[in-house]
Amino acid sequence: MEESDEEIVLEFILEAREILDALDQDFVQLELKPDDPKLIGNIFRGMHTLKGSSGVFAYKRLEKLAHAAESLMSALREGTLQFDSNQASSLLKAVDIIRDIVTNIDLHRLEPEGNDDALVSNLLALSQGLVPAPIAIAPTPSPAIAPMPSLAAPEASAAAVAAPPATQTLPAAPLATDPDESQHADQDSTEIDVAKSRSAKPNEQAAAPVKVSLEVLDKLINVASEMVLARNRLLPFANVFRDPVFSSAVRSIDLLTRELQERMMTTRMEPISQVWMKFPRLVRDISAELGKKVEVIQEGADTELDRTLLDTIRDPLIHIIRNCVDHGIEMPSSRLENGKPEIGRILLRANHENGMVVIEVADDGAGIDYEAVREKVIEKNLADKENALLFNDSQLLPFIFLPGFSTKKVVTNLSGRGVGADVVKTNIANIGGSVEVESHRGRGTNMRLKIPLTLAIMPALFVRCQGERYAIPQNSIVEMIHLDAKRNETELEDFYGVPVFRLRGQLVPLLFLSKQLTLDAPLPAPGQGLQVAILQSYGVLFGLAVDEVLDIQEVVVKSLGQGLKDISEFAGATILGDGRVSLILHVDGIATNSGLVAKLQSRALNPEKQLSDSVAAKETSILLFNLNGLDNLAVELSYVERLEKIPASKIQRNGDRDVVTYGNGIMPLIPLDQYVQGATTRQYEEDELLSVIVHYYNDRPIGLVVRQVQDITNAPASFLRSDPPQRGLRGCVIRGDQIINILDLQEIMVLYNLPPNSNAYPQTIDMFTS
Amino acid sequence: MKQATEFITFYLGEFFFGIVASDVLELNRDLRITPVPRSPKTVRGIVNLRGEIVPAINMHARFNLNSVCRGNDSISIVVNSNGLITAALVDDVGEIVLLYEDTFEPPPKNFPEESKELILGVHKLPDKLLLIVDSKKIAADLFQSNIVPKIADQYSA
Repeated sequence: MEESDEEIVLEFILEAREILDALDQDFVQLELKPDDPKLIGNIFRGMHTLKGSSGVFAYKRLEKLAHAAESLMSALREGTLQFDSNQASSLLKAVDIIRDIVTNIDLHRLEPEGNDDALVSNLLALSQGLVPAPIAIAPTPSPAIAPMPSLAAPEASAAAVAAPPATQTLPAAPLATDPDESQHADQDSTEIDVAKSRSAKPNEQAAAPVKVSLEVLDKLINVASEMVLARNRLLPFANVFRDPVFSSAVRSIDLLTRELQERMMTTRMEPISQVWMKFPRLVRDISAELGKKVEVIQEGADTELDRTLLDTIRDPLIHIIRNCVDHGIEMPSSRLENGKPEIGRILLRANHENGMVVIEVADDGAGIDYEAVREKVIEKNLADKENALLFNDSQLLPFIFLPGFSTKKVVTNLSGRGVGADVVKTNIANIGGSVEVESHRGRGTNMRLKIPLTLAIMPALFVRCQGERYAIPQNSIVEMIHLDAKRNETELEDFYGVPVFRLRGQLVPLLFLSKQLTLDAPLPAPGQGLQVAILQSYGVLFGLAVDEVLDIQEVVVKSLGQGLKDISEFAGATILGDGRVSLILHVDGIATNSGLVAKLQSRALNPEKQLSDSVAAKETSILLFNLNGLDNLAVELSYVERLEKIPASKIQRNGDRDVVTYGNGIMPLIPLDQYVQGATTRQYEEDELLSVIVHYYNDRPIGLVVRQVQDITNAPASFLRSDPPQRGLRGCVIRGDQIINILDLQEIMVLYNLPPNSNAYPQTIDMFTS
Repeated sequence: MKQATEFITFYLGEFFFGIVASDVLELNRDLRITPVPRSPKTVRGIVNLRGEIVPAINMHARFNLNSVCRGNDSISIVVNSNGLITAALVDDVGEIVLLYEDTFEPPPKNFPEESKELILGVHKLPDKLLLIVDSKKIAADLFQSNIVPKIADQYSA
């Protein structure tokens, strides 16, 4: 009995939340279209349903408020009143208090104490067509002790199970569910709807969605993936027995399993409108507080992504939108002066691009105040003053992503507290995404967030340490290096107790994975070569020494579960193709636990404006070359060891690879035109002299075969991104009026090291691939 | 009518234990264990139980026995320990026994303190004692933050 009561309360809370979310949206729309009878009807019915179900549970406060709001809506619906902003504010206040009450019920199963008489009488007065004095709403008191409403009355329970009868008659309350088809909520309140259409088309009656708890869904996904493995074990038998009936049964199982697996994955997806839904209300509240006028436009609200990702992007998006309203959009008067429409606009747009979801938040406001950024750069000594004065806008832009950088002079409760763009960037980077900003003075700002479709799968580099395999998420890896004993590179220096080494002139601290994981292992003897992953965390670059570098694979991230997920060195675990489990390292956790972050923040390792170096425009030398059918390519000179001319006749075969003898060893030749998108491959002629760029990879020479080496030149060190990304290219730089594409050596090496004819890059070994 | 309970019996070193059969989900042999550094001492690692990551508890360590847990060839009793699916690593599994309340006694007084909380009591069998394990307590270490202290101070001057 007790359990079913609990279920009913949970269902009530869920329903109330859905109604409240829908109300928020409807109210904001109603302010734009005050005469829309459909919206008024929606709100009226929402309030009515709330009143009805709270009456069942004897939530008195809730019932009274909903009743008062319903009275006002009913007057509006009958057309005896005209909707105005006064009414809107009172109604929204009522919605806010109701939300607080529902939250309290969720937490404590009790209605919080409080007196809403002022608001109730205000609403009732409004519904009589009176204009009451503005009211001050007493703050909702925090959880108080109130008598537990009786839940045991059998009629009450029965009525509540069917609570939505009122809802059922609401064609336009899109979030209501059909009680007959809806499953009882699980204890877990994280729920998602399997049907997706509803948020995309809020005003149509979609097929009643069925609620399934996330836990059940995750179990199902697990079972589906086990099914795939079981199928894999079965497949070979079809060949052994050669029985046509058996074979065809196996084939059916094969196909069905595949379909099952694909469909299960789609159940994790939810439309982004889940997050957006709340934004019109948010914008309305902030702009009202600031005396601004802002309208929100949504495009692509039905774009879907993994629900765990939705949770992660919610806060960054709220942050960006607050910034848009607070910093971006100007006051109505100054907008009019500048010849802009009085009402500012914020555009939310989402769409799929290259297997990523791109979310754009654009406003037509004043744009970033670059002069304030410049002032701050100089004030905080982030760059030389002479340089800073010369920076153009695009050079100033990256500074806004530095931690603690805020140009807002007055700290408000909205923004200006120095937590800003860097937090957004970090949060998005943590889920493997990226942030791009474009901002023009007086014309507005456009933030683009690129988010992977799902968090559950990501590329990771496998390394070995003390016999165990560990995965490092690829998005935190800057590069892999080998510190060679012979070249005296391993000589570690000491920086206030931190071992450091030199990487292209920069001092980089070094951690040993075995030590960080407190594995009882002796540290490598001095002078011994080291495999080091260069990682980045909280803006700190550091090296992590491992025993061996293995391969890159796509992994499915799983939680370590109760007790173990709190170990901050691990982000989770993944199950490999052979069924074994590998731990995934949490780079931020390792950096923090080592004490490195705190240490380096208090004492800069590379004192010469390390910060500004990383953001300000810097030049690097590049080697220009071309390939067959593709001009204007370049590789950073730091990667080039030597340039050679090698006669094609000297090429020998080593397995399926072209090699030549080089020095007293073997150098594999990589025909670059096979790996760079846009180039055309060709056969070498017998007597041809090949132009070869020699690059040392893992201490071994690799020959990159190009058509012609052209020039060495300087280019900005920060590359522009190619969009969409091109295979084999890291980005591009603009030189004169030409676009120079920069080679992605890392990607090419990965591609080259894959087995021939493998189309799998990065190699997917998640449970779902056969 | 006497109350009867089914127990699955297992061995750890020279000791003979029983666990209520309804708490046991399955028995497994040769689950490949991935050690988890910095985890509580009683956690031997994690295993893949049909797509689910499940902690493996070294029962020797859990009982503070001096005996050594065998390697990967241990047998796992997969139990529901306080809601957490857990693999308890034991040396060997015996038969399933049906026992009545009248042979049940509270744990002997001379029992070592640290193991006492894990033992509900003993059943006196004709030839030996069967120690009844409280399955709720098997994964207890995972419900407290027993993680090895951070090493943040290793670089402090």
